[in-house]
Amino acid sequence: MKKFVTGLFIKARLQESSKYMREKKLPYLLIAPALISAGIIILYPISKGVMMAFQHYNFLKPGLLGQFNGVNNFIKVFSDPKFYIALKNTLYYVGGSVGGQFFLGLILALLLNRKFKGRGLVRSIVLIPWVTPGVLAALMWKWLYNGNYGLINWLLSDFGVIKEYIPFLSQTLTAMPAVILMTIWKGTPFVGIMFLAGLQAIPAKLYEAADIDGANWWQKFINITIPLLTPIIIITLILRIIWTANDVELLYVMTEGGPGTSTLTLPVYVYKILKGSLDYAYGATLAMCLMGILVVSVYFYIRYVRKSGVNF
Amino acid sequence: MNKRKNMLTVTFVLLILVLGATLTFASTEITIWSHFDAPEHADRLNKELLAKFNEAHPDIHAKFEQVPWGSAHEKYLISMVTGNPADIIFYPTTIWGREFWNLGGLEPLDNYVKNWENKDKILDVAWKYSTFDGQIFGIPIMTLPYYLYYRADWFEELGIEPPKTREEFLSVAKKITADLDGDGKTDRYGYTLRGARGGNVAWESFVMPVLKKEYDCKYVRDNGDSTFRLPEAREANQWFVELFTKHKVTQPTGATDGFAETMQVFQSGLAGMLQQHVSVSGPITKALGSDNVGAVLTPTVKGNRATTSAMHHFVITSASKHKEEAWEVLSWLTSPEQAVVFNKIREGTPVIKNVGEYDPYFIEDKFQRISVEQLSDTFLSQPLETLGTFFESAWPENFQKTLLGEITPDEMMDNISKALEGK
Amino acid sequence: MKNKRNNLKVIIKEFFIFVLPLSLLILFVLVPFIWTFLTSIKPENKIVTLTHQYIPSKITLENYIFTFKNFAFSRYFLNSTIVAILSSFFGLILAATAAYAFSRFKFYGRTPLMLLFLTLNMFPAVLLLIPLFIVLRSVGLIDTHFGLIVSYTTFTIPFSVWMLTGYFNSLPKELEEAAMVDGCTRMQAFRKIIIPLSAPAITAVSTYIFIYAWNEFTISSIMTQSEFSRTLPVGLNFLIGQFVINWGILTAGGVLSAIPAIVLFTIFQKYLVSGITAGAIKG
Repeated sequence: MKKFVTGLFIKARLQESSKYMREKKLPYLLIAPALISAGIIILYPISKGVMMAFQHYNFLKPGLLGQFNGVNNFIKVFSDPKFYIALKNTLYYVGGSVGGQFFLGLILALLLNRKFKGRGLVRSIVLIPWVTPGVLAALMWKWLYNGNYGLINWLLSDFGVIKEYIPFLSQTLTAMPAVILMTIWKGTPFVGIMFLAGLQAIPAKLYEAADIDGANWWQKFINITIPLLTPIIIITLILRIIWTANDVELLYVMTEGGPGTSTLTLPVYVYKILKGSLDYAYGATLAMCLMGILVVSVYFYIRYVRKSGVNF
Repeated sequence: MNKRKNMLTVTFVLLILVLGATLTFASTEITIWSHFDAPEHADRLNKELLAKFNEAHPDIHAKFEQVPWGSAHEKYLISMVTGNPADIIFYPTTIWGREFWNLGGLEPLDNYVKNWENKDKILDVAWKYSTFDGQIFGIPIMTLPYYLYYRADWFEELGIEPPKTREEFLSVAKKITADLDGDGKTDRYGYTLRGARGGNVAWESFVMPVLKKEYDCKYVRDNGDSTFRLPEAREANQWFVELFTKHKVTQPTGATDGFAETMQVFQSGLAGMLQQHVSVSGPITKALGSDNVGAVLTPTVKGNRATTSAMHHFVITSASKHKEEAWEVLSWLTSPEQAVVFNKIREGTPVIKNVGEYDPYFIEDKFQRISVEQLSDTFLSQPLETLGTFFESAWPENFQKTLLGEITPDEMMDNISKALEGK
Repeated sequence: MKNKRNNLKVIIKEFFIFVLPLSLLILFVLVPFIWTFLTSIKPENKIVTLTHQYIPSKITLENYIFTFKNFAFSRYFLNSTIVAILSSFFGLILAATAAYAFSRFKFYGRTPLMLLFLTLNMFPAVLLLIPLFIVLRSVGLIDTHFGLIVSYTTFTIPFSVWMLTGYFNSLPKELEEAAMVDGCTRMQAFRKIIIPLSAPAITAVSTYIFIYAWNEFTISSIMTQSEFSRTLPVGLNFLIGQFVINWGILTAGGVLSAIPAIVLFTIFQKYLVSGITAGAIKG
């Protein structure tokens, strides 16, 4: 009898422990598909790219392909004046674009948070820029900005605002703002929808309680809306910064980095190097510098956010 | 029962044999990669041209495969690196020639050409630009030399002749530039400036002539210095830049206008002259009417004329598994009789001697005639390793900055020279 | 009297803080597209003109007809559809399993892995291309739908995993635990309980991946070699030749390409928003 009970007991424990073992292994099994595909499709190619930065990799000099080059590429990058120009432009571009998307996206979200007739339709319309293919969006806007036949110039001159057309994309001063406006157009819907979702997650009771306490709209905004929106703001900002900083398509189609180098951001610089000089090692080095800046920025940002108590 | 079984076995075996036979004697597929300007060109070339070849050669099936222009370069490059390109590729040698050769992606054709019956039917100027390191890398098939389009109706109305020298060019441009309706805004300009990537072709036609006699239109001399540092080149560059900055005879958006924009400017009547090649004569005449457009040779600079030939070649890739068959296709396509058909469909100019004998179209059409005439004053960009950087970055960036006054023409030439010299 | 004055005040206030900004935003969003659409119905010679012509005097459908006839449009459309739908499906599986792990388990390496997934997109795609091409070629996935699907599911991991993790976090763990007491395995509980309850988030993620796959250009232009697998964005690029740009046809093709995504969005936008909302609660 005792043996039987002990046997049952051991069996139960074994079952439990194997279940325990299974549970312990389970998360890794679940992560595995995503991890494997990320490894093959992204991590492995990235590692090759990172390696390239320390090698010779110029298709015009195939004899040297793959040979070790130490940190020479990095020295070249740091002594390349165009690198600093591109870096400055990237900061200008990302700051202006993400800032604008953030600002407009918040307004959009606040507007769409109200209940009104036709809200569903308006929401769908407002998402159009997001679903427009990048190349098409860039070409549409390039056409709008056209210094001879563009709609914007037509309207401005027909309304008497200007006499001479403004060649938006042909002047150093106006080129980058013009491009930034286009990317704001493209990216605001996504930000808006994310913020809208965040707004809808805020319980109405909080606002009602604040109303009872006599808070005005600004106080409500600062003390309820913004804090509760913060997690979504953070994640959206991170995703948008990464995406905007890496964009090549939109910029290259619109200006090819011109006029001169006024809209040459780091990714566009990399692209032009790959196309022109075929020096993939140099391109990889530049890309690594950009990636390094992004990684460091995001890391410190998340750390700061965690420190200030936001659960992220 | 046994009899039926035997019948089945025999039929089965026969089927296998027949299948095997067809597979063995199936024709060799030869693929030709090419970009096209009009979606229907690939179709037409396959149906009207290659169909004839395929009929005459039942053991070979050749076909054109369209590659989007925007990603053609990457595609060809990657395919040569990874070892699975098409058998034949058609591309503009000006821009990409050297790289594919350096990679070992192209099959040298000297042995094939040695006893080729059409060898002497191709122009010398085309053969001149068909070798790297002393070996023939491809067969030239099509060229697109730049010449000058002009508004014949405006010239008539103003009573001026198409310019022959650059001085005449400037004076004509000034006469055309005008504020027609007195509202203080210039309504039309003399010349269409192209400052974006690709604009170096027109620019070179005003600079290279002074480097023709002594330096054979090279970018970098034998001693490693760029010809653009020379004073005669600087003067030529300054003259050209001043069209925009000083004389203002070009459209104001010229600094960043690329191919599409310059075509629009000329086609909409914003400017009276445009440098382009014969491929765009179709759209231009469609937009403006054939009587209103004329063509004339590129103006001379200090008595010389030089413009890029934009030569296009057919090459056989070294990774091709059917080089013999590919050569059959290639040599047929580049023979005079077929070359004229090819060029007529693609709207290019053949590199055949006495092309008028094979198809009078090329001397009767007013644009092809000028194109053929221009050919003798053309050069192909020196196949430097730094050519890509020059084309993609160094020239557009520095030219634009000079036009906008951010750097001086001298600084521009210094920067371009540095890039070409590879320092 | 006072009521009327108050009502007027309210109406004016509403106008300035709601109607006007919303209308301006809608206009901002729509104008480029409207202008593109108007361009696509103009005859070619009326597109580039010095005279200001806003509304076309002559409308033509020739650009659309040409696009359908000459452009292998239907093939590209089919390819894009296949790739987008399957990418959504597989992307969902990949992301849901990983998200479930992040949500329900505390395991060694959880935080670093979460951060890794979040930042997968940091490397410029343009440099990934050659190594990725070599990898896919070695397994024969070039010029196949599957090659694109695998790539797209991977590139959408950051958003998908984050979204689903957040949503799963909002569902109480007790749900599965109750089911497991009843004899379900963990995975059965996942399948039968969690997944159905996550419909909004799943819709959001699927729509996101679909749009991404539908519009993606860079990877597709290198990975597809022929009409067999070529997708719409790459096909559109054919209309930009070395020497010719067909504005009318390009805009027609562009409008046609964007329509499916727009339609999809219109249908699913409600779920998209509520899915992200719920994910945001416990994000």
